[in-house]
Amino acid sequence: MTQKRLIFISSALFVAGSAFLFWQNERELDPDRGKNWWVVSFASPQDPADLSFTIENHSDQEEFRYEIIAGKTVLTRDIFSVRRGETLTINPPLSAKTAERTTVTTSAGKEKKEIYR
Amino acid sequence: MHPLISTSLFFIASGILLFLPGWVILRAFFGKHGPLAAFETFLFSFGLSIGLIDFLMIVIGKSDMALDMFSLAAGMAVSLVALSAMASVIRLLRKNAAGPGIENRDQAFMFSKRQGWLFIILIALTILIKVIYLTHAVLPTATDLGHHMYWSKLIATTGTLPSYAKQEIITAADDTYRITTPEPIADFIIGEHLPFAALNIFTGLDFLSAFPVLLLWLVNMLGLFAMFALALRLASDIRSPLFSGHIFTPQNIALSVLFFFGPLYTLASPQAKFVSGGVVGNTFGNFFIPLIILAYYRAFKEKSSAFLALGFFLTFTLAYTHHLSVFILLFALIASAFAYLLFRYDALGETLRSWWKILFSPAPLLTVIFACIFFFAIAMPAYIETNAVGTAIGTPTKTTRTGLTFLQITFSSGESRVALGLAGLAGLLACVSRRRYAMAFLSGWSIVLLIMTLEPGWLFIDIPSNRIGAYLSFPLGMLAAFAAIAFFASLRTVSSGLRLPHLLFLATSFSLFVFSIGSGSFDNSQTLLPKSKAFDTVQTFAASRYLKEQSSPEDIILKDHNYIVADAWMKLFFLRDYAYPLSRGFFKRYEDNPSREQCTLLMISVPNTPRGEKCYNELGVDLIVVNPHFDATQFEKSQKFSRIYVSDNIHIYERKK
Repeated sequence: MTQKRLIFISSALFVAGSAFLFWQNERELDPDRGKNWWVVSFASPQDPADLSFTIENHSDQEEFRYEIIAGKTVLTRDIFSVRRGETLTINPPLSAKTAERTTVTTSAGKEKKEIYR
Repeated sequence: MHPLISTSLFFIASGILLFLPGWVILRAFFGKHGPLAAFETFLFSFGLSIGLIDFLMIVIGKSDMALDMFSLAAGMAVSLVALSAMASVIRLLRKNAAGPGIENRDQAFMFSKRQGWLFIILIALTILIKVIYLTHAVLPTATDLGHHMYWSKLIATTGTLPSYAKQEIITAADDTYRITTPEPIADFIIGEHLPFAALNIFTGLDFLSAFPVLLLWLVNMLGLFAMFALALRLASDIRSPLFSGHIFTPQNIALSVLFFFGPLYTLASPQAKFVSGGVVGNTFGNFFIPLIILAYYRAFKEKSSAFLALGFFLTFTLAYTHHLSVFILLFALIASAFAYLLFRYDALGETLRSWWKILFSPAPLLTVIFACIFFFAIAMPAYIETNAVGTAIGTPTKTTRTGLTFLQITFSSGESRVALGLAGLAGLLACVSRRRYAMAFLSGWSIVLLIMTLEPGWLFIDIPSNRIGAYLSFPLGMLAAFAAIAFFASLRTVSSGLRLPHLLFLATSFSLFVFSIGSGSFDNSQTLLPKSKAFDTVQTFAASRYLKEQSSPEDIILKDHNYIVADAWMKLFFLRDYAYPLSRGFFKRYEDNPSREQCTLLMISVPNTPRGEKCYNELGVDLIVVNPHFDATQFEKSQKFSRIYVSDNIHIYERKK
């Protein structure tokens, strides 16, 4: 068997393996593929009074609820929808309290996440 | 990017950048019907191209031109034209321009149909096992690879050569903590980063994709071919009446090498584990070392100044790629030369005269002149500029540098390779004519590495012994292949008085096969990753994107290295400094080295203590990234921190101003 044929076959096998690994890596880095998670974060973290927040949804849940609580007082609450793969920013009509911790509690199904200032 | 487009871009760019330039140079210097077999052309093309890309990018970077697609393409074209012109002149001057001829060239590389199929099966098995391993390990998570890709991305993004330096936290004279301006570091060498940067510049492939690991895998596979080609050449120079000529053939020995380095031990260090772990310098070194030995072997065996020039150029390339590899190579070459002179002590004058004649030929001399000009006038490797070489020479004092035990060697190099390799060394020295270059290279390479691994103090080497041990598996594996084939060949030899029956021959073969395969595949099974880190990785990258968008140059970020997956890759999002974001390192490092700065530990572990607060106040750290399963409570109970980002495995806290 000629060397060139051996090199060609080896290269072809390597290219096939690499193509598979590129494909596999793309799938693994896809935040929505085979994963179930979501993120909540302040949309303007530099502004200590701003309570607008962002939901980045990579989960099967689409219905979310949020409450804004200062100390033990619920200031506002609402429901919103975010589909998988989408990001939504909520702008509550409130500012953070300076004297006490203001918490944005977001929940979807049984899962709950809190950010606070 | 669609995987098919990524794959196509990767291979087209690799072909154009990492094979074509070397192939053009080889064709110019050796001619169309030169002395190179197709395998050698393939391997030397890659090695030469890496060298050309490295030196070209350094020249462009040093001349203050931007490193981009146009400057690289133009530089490549000019270099190739100049080198081709130079090759024409040298070929006119060189008296021994003609190689050994096509007949000689092809003899060692002719394979029967059965051998060809065995080659394909071994390569297919090797690729299959590595792909299975890399399925989970191809994700950009490895710390070392993250560190290296920071520099590559910096080169590709800024279009300039990097200054290898990083900021550090120090305690000033007035007992305050502060972050220094970037201080030089000797840990990196430019050649480890330029090929990745070049591929990114030409393809736009994201560093946070599979391409860095796949480039390393390509180098790793070419290293396997380099061992195969070297074995073919060395074996064609070794004969003994004790071994059957039908079995002890270069092809069988090379296939045996493929067996020991392909499917067996294919995952553990220094193979696929180095690939996924981003051990860039070693992986390149393990490709270059056998290739360079092959070039020198052919230079001296065939008295070819062209191969000597090739060896010089590749050695010089390796010097700009990996310091330890070039250090090991130099020891191996010196030991080989010494072994040859020892084996041929009766023809010392004749040998030295022939070496002198090859050395003082146009091609090697021009290569040496180019190397000297480049080294002194353009750029030295970082480890020379920072005087790091001195730290590798001396009497070893630390226990990690005083050598490995024999048991540790069998663990790191593999039982079957060590057992058969040592048998091979003893057997070849006893049974084969030592007055050959092949024997000098095999024995010099293996013996000097055995000494460097077992008793580094004898050679005044002060380097971690396990790092040297990683190189020992190569000569031992090659000797193991010789031993295995020699063993079968000795059983089958006609001249031997003992002619064993077929059944016993089969049983012996099977035992040896089972021993090798058992040891090699057990090693593989120990290395397979239990599960993917994809879920953690995407969260780290999402948090990094958030921080990149939301933070300003005034912010200082601290993250944890202990519990966050792929945290070393966070720096690629900012490209602000090699040490940015600041990092809480492994706890053991703070314990082992109490003089190390403690702020990165205190600011995450005990942020509310006076010492923690002092660190925050004086360093200006205001954003902290942690894994909430380990590090949330201390921040939750403090009024000084806002929690601004939450995912399952990442919390980001902001320290209130």
